[in-house]
Amino acid sequence: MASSRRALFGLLAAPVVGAWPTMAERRQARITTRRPGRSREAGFFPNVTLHTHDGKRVRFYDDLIKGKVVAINFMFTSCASFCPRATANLLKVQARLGTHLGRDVSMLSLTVDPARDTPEVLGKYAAAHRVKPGWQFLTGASADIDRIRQRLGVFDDDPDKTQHTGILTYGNEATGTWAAMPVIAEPAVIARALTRLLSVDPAAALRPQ
Amino acid sequence: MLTRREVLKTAAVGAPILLGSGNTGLLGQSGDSGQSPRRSPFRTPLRRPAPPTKLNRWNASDTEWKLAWDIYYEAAAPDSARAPGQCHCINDAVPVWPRLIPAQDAEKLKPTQDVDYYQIVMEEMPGVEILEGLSTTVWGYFDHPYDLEAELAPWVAREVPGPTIEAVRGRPVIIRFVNRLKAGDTLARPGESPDTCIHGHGCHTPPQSDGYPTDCIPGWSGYGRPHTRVYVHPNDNDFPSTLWYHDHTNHHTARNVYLGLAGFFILRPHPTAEGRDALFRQIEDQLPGGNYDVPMVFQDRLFNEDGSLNFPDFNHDGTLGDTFLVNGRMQPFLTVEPRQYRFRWLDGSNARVYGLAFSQSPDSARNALPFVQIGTEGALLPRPAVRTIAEISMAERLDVVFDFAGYRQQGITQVYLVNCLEQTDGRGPDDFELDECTPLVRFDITDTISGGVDHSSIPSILNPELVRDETGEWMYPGFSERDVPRDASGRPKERVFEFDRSHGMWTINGAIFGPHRNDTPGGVKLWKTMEGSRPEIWRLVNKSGGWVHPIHIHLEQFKILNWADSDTGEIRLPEAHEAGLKDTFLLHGDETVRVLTTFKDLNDHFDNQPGVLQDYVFHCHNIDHEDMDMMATNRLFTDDAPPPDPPRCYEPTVTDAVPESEE
Repeated sequence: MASSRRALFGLLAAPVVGAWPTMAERRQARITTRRPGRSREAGFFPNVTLHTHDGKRVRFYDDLIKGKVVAINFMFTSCASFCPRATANLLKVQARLGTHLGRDVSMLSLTVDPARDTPEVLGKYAAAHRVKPGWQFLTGASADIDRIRQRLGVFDDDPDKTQHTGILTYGNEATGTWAAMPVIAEPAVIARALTRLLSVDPAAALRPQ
Repeated sequence: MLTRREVLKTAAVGAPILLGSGNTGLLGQSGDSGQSPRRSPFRTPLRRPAPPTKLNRWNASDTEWKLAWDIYYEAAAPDSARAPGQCHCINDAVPVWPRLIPAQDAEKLKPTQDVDYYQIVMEEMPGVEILEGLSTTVWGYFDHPYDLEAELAPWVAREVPGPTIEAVRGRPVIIRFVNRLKAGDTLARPGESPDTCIHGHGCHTPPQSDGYPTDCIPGWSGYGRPHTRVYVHPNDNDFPSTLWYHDHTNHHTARNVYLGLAGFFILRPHPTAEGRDALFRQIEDQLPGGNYDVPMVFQDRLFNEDGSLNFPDFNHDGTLGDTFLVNGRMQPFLTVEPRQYRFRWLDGSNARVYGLAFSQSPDSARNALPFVQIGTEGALLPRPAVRTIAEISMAERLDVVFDFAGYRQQGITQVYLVNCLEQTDGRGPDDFELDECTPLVRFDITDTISGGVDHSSIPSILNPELVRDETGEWMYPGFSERDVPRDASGRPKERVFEFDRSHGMWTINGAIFGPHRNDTPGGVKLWKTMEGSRPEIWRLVNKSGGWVHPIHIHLEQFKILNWADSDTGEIRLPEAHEAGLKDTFLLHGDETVRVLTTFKDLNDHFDNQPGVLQDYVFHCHNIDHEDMDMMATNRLFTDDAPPPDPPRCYEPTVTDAVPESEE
C-alpha cells in the first residue's frame, strides 16, 4: 500500500551493547530508536538468528516477521515482578484469538535474559503456562535482542532487567502498519487490535468460532 | 528545573544576523538522520483559518437551513448517542449516554434560537503545499455546509488546521462532524478503519460531546453515507478564552493530530447579554481586536523527501519534527501595522515545548523584546504580566499583546517571533539557547496604521473577578481554598495523582487507561448550583524520573495553588503569569502542582438520568504518551453516587494496576 521509501541515509550500524555502553553509545542507541520508522525498508528489522522454545533456529525477519501479523513483547523467565502479570494477560489474548493464533496472527515473546533463558528453559516455561502453537518464546545473542528492542523503540538504557519494557509492539509487516500498547492492556483490546490488522471485520473475528 | 524560567538579559552586542537555514533551524532537529527537505523561510503569509459557514444565519440558503434542522433532529433523537452495534474504536463497552441533546435542552437548541449550527467533515486532502514545490497529503477538518454526498465547496481552503470556530459565551455551538476518512486513504493504516472522535479542549462540554477516547465516529467504507456525530457545546465556560478542538481517538491521537486534525475554538463575550458579559466586553473592547487579534498554533513536523508527512512508527517518547509550522504553513511572515496586536498562542505539537520570544534577530533572543501576557488557557489574567521569554508546553495557550509601534519609530521594520528552547528528545526540552533560536514568524511592519490611531490599550486590571480581595481570595466563586472540605486533621482534602513510568509504560497512580473504568474513587461531585458547592483540590505529582508531562484535565479550568518539588516538598507560589485559570499544567521532572476547581453544571446542560455515565478523562498531553494510555477517567455524579463501571461485551479483566517491582 505505502510506496517503498528509498534508503536515503545509510542505516546506522547498531551500537555494540555488550559491556555497558558509553555515553556516546547510549546517545547513538537513542538516535537509532528515534529514527523515523522506515519499517518497509529492507533491513529495518534485524535478520538475526534466534532460537525458539521448541528448539528451532529461525531468522528474526525472514521467518518471524516478514508478511505476518505479529505481537512482540519482552520478558524473562525468572522475572517475579512484572512478567507473570504480562504473561497471564497474554494468555487471555491467546484465548481470544482462538484459531487466528498460528494461522493469521503470531505472538513472539523475546527474553531479555538470554544467558539464563535457554531454549529448554523457555520450553518449560511455555509448557507450564500452556502456551499454544503460534506463540513462540525466543532467545538469542544479547546484542541481537538489544538491537531488536532499539529498532522497536522499546530499548531502555537501564541495566536493571526487572525494569525492561512492558510495551507490546504489534503490526502487520505486509502493510507496514505498526503500533504499540501496554502489554497489560485489556485482552479484548489487544486481540481486537491484532485482528483489525487482518482486514476482516474485527467483531466477527472475535466471536466464538 | 525551575531555573529554566529565568530570563537571561545581557547587554551583549547584537549577534551577526545569520538568516537561518530555513526550516532546519539549529534547534530541535530530531537528532538523527531523518531530515525534512530544506526550504527557505518566510515565503508564505501567515494564514488565519476562516470560520465555518453558519447554517442557520439570517441569509442562509434553503439547503443550509434544511441541513441545520437535520442536525438538530439527529442530535435530539431520544437514542441519539447510543454507540452503534459495533463500536469500532476499541471495545464494546457501550457508554450509557442516551441523548446528545438532553431532554431539558431540546427545545432551546433548535436552529431558530440563539444557537450556531455547523457541519464539518474529516477528510483526506492531497495537494497541500507546505514545503515549497512539494505536495503533502493531510487529514483535515473542512467546512462542508452541504449534503453529505456533495463535494467540498471550491472556496473552502484545502489546508490545515481546520476552520476557527468563533463562539460566544452563552450561545451554544452545535457541529455535526462527518467522518469521511476511509480505510483506503493514503494515510490510513492499512486494514484499519480510521475512526475518530473530537475533543473541544478547554470547553465546558457535556460528556457525550467531549470526545471520550473510545466513543468514536466510525470510518467510512467509501460507499453510501459516511458516519456522523453531532457535538453540542453549550459554551457556558466561566470566562472568554482561547480554546481548540482536535482528534482524541484512543491509541491514535498522536498520529491523527499530527496529520492535521486540529483547529481553533475562540470563545468571546456575548455581544449583547448583560451581567458578566458586559464586563467582559468592556475589557475586551479595549484590547486589540478584529484583524489585530491573531491566533497562532505552533506545530513541528517531519517530512519525507517527496513532501509526505513522516510519522515515526516506533517512537514512544514523543514525536519531534524539524520543520516549524505556524497555522499550517512553514515559518510564515505577517505584515503588521505599527500598533498593538493580540496574539493567541497555542502549542499544537505532539511533544515539543517552546520558549517564545520576540526579537530583532531571527536566531537570537539575547536582547528579547518584551511583551505583555494577558491570558492563559481559561481566562484573562487578573493583571497583565510583562514577559521576555515564555515557556509554553503542548496544549497550553498564552494570550499576549505586542506593540510594534515603538520599534517602527526606531526604524525597525522586521521583528521575529523565535523559539529558543532546544529540544532533541521527545521526553522533554533541553535548555534555553538564547543564541540558537529558530525563527517561527517574521513580522514586517508597515508605515501607517489604518484609521490613523491605535485605540487599543491594556487595562491595568484585566479580570477583576480574579484579583485577590483583602482576604486573599478571588471574587469569582468556586475557587476558594477555604471551601474545600477538610479531613480529620483539618487539612484540605486532596485527590492525588502520581505520574510515573514503569516498565516503559506511563502510569497514573500505578494504572494505565481502562475505558470507562473510574479512576477517581467515589466519583467527583458535579454541582448544579454554587450554593453549597465544594471545590476539589487535585495534586498532580510527577515522579517519572526526569520526564516532562503537561497534564490536561477535561471539563473545567483550574486555579494553581502552588507548585512543589516532588521529592523535597519545597513549595513555590505561582508567578504573575500563572495567576489565572489553566487546564494544562507542565510538570517538569520531579515537579508537583496543586490545583483547584469546582466541577459544575450551573446551566443544566448535562443529562441527569439515573445510571447515565458522566465520564471525562485527564491525561498527559504529550500525545505520544497519551496514546500509550497515560490517561485516566474522572467520573462525575450529580445525585448520590456515581454509577458503576459499565459491563463489557466480554468478561471483565482484572484491574490494570501495574504491580511494584521487587528489588
